Amino acid sequence: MTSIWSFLLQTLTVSLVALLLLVLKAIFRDKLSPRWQYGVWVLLAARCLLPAGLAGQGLLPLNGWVEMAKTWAESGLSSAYSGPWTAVTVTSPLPWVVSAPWSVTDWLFVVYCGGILFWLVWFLAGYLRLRRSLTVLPEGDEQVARVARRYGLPLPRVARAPVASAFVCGPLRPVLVLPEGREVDDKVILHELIHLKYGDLWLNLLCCLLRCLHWCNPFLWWVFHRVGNDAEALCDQRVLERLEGEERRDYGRILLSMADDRYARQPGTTSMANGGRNIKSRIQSIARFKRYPRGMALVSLCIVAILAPACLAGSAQASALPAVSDHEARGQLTEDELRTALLRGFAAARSARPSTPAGALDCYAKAVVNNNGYFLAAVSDTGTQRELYETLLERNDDTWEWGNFYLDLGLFPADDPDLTWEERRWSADNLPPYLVMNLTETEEGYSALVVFFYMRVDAESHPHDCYLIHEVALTHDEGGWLVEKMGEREPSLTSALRLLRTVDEYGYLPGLDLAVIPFASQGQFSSSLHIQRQDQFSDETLFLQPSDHSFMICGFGNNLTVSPDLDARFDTTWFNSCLEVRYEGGSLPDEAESFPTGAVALYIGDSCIRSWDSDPFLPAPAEPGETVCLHALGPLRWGGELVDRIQFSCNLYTVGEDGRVALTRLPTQTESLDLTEVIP
Amino acid sequence: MSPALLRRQLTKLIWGLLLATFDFNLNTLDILPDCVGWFLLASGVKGLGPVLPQLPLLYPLAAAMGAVSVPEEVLQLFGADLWEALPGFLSPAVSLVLQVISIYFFFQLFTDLATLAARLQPEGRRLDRAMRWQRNAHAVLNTAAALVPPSLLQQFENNVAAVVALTGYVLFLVIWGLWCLVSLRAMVPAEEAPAEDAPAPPPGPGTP
Repeated sequence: MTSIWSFLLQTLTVSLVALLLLVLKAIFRDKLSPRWQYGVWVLLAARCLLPAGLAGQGLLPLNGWVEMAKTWAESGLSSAYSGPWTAVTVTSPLPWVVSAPWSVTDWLFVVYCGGILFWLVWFLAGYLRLRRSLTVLPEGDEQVARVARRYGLPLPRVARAPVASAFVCGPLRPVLVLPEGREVDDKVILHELIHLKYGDLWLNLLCCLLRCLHWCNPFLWWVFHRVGNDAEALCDQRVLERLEGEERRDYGRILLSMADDRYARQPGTTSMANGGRNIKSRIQSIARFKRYPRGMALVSLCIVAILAPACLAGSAQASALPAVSDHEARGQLTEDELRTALLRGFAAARSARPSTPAGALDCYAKAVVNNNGYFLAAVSDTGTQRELYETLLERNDDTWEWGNFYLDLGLFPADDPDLTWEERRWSADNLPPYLVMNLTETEEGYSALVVFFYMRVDAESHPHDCYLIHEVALTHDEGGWLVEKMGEREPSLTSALRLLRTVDEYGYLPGLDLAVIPFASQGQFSSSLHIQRQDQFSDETLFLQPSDHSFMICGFGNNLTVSPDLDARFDTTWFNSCLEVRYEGGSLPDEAESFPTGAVALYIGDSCIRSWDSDPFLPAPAEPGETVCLHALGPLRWGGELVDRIQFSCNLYTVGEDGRVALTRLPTQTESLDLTEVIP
Repeated sequence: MSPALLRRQLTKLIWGLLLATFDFNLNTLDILPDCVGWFLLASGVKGLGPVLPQLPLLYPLAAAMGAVSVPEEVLQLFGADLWEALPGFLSPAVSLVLQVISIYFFFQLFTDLATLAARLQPEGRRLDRAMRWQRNAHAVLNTAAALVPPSLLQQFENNVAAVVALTGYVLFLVIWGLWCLVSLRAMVPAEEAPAEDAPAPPPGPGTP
């Protein structure tokens, strides 16, 4: 922890787990054994020792709340330990001061660190004072030895002191301290020896250290006190299990007599007396004493197993990023309202960073598609966030039209001067909202192309399919993946171009930049099949599909969810290959049907896993000697295995003298593709 | 406790387990309402107090589960989801607590009923052991199911074999539990005939 905000997040997270455990302990107070009641605190101890937000958010969106408070508080300060736009992260449960303090919040953190040292020294001094006041009996105590022998318990050193009740202290070299000048019942000694046997002194020491770490959290101090009481209650249970009949009643009477006794509260000590109210509760438990059947251990473990992930790792799902309200989008909020909304939204964005490159791309794309500045903030660095925040604040007026924000930030293409901006709609029904193409690993992370499909309607209400292609760079920082727009590609809109259409997977994607060379054929064909990889936008052309299950990439229908899938993974990678077919011969008669068509088959080993026919490219015949390119889009993986071979075959329709069209299959040619996987 | 009353309480538990565990939806209407099941379970555990003094400790747990089921089913009737209607920060915590309560409830229920079975079962019959095995299987398998990450569950949604296996195990556990309860109820002795030397009832008015 390096700032007051990281401490705040850590202590709130621990407090929340403590609250949950207290609720459950109250529900199962008279149902689960004292062993479970005490043992379940191990989750709290583990939570204290693990950094907050280790594996996602906790049971509550504490990250977002702390972020919001930090941004609001630090906006006017120049903190050396944190900034308004940097995410709060907890990398260690222990604090350290990284540099000299500057702002008020920095000094608060220094005071907190000083407080830890103070309490450590305080407790240590108290313990040393206690130990110095004890005089160990060199010959031991015969009564203690007898009790230890009888019940098979460890025998500590013994001391006598002017104390009200017996206690043990010293985890390393334990000492049983008995009251001076008073008889001590065997059961009291038994109680203390059981503490010793089960290592309660070490647990007490741990509680003391955790108290120091969270010294300014009074709720946790009370919780640690409860932990001590549960330790005593468990010790009572263990004592009662060793006693019979009337001895148990005697034990209760002894406990009752200690109700007014003072007790040692130093670290590394335990005492049978722990206050009148606690003793009353313990006596009630004694009255309810029963031996829990052995099978109960199973359900106790099951409950702890269910609680452990939630308490220690939190929810695996990142917090949802907020949508932009209509009022906000239309500039209808007051400045204060907008400032609050933006702070809340940006705080949520910082605490919900995409954890995967696919998630980052999904977040970026949906920011553009949904005009959501918070989504954009989630994948932006601190500098960009500040600019975004200030831009959105400035835009809060009646003249701000929906979508202008993105025009100004260059995320949306400027209007074509020949088209009047009437309506802008993302994608036609049979096209996906966006594709990720050409994902390539770089030194800093990845680069990719994000292709958006949208429609423009001109003044005559004619729709035009359009593309928006963003070149983006992905980098990773501590909080997650960031996306930065590097530039744009101009799409070339050629209406005659088509990609291959697979049988049941794709609609066609019109207008992408592909070279198509008309072909010619006549009569009998001799052909050479020349297969080459057709590069579309760069050397490697990959279509990558996020695994958002409601997102149908290139599918029919548009089931895109509004919220980004911040943990999305690429699970389908497609290649695009081109088959060039050259034909000799003359031109085709006018009545000839379209040809050639191609068939593509994918192989893993000798198994054909998939095959499909392509659409013809151009219905009209062309000049002899020219070639046609048939493009194949196919998955790189099939059932988890990598496709290692692609085989093309070409179907030619020949036109006989009688005008009948016959189908001829040309010899197939196979190509083993070097399918370099780039799936982060 | 009279045998008839004992059988009645066990019958409540049987119906309660059936209703609380199975859902049969006609559009948005669950004709096997969970809340009724939980309230029957609550009534049954309370009613068995005279023979199993520890069992009524489960009453507040069953009542709480029933109380949560009521708004859940009402909202479901109108096509809404209680867990989505709750504030986002409450939903995971409440869901977690209910999960824990459910596992503990059935475990303790069958533990206590096993002691009753041990008292009632004839020589050579080990219904108590069967009940303990059932409660162990129920606890372990439900805990394992609760620990599966949602992302992994989503991957198996379309896997027919996985769905069939999951449904099968749920059915098996519930049917096993129902069989144990039905068997236990069958072991309850029939009503005792009045003793021969018991005093005759007083004559009614008008009788000589």
